[in-house]
Amino acid sequence: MKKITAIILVSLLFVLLVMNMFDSDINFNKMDQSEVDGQYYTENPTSANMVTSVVVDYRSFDTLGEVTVLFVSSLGVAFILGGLSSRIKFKQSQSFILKVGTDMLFGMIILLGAYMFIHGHLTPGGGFPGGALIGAAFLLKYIGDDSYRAKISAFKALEGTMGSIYVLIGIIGILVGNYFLENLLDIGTLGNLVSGGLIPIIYVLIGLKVGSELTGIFDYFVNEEV
Amino acid sequence: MSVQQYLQIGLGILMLVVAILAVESKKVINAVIYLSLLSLLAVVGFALMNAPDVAITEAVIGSGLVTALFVFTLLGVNKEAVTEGGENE
Amino acid sequence: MHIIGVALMLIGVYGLLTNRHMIKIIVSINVLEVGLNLFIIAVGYSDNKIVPIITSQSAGASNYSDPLPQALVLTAIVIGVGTTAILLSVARKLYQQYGTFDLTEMEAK
Repeated sequence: MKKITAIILVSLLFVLLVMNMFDSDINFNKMDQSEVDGQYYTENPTSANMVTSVVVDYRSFDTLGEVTVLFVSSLGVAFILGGLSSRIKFKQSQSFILKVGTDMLFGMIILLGAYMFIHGHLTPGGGFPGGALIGAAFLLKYIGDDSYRAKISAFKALEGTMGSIYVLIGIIGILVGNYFLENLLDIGTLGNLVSGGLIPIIYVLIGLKVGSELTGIFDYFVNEEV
Repeated sequence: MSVQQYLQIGLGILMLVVAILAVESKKVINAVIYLSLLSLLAVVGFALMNAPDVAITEAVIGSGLVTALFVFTLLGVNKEAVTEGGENE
Repeated sequence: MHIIGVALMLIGVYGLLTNRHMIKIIVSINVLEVGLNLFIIAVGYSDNKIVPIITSQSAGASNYSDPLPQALVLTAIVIGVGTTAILLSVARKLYQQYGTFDLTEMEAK
């Protein structure tokens, strides 16, 4: 009975939404350039990757909000799952080749993640997938070795420092410039490595912060009570 | 219709099938693997719609991190809680 | 592709309404988030536009794709990871307290 009611409700919602989508006079797939919402962002880009210039330069306040949400979720996981101290043991013993192989791959993945957030304003990628790759490299070390613990205190200090520097850059924008999180440095020519003002610096901060945060979350998840 | 539109329609139908399998499966570990497959198909969809930034972010987060979080939660429980996935009225 | 996005969102809502196992409820929330991101990117897609990155071959072009929905979805994906992490840790604590993942058995205790 519950399933049939749910199916009827969901199909009714689907019919209503699709009918209203086809009813309006915006043709979604054939919009002209002048009808596009973000037309100002494509005509005045501050870096070669236009999505980067929207995320870090024009809407930098939303990125600060997202960094805060990640910090609060890491805090929540630490409150709920803190205090467990021994690792979950896997049912199969880890062979020698697995440990050596993960050690070799670890350095390469860290290098790929660092490349991604340093070149975030020139190629696709940026701070968030670069930081997530660093977190995935530490996850590989956790899976490959049954008794590995990362140095969590160093990661927590790194995460707190990077977040504070981001807010400090914003406050410097109020004191020296006109508004919070203004792009104070020179923009330069589009396409160089040193271009875009504060954009590469902020992406490096975000990449390191997200990487250390995700590593901290994994360290809480692999523990259990003794 | 061009090749790109056929590709988008085929990808869309595959995503709907995998999503229904993920929500309705009996074992819980099957639902987690179907969620990872749905995330992979969404990466292809994002790449077809001219969004490489979003495709790279979803690939790294959807395939590696979220699946690992689910598996680590299911590791510390006994066998009976994992295979009892079905609903009965 | 936007019809596929709406359909995925509604499959996620159906899974949220019908399931009893806590981990499958969290899987349904993630299906809902994938459908939502797909819908937002599909709104910003038009047929003859190119990737919004200025390269040496596309300098001076004027039909770049819309970068604003892509910036919003980039934020939404990362927030989805944070939400899933907190939900899974709450589920694990509830399992330690009640011994089961099933919601109706938890109400009976």
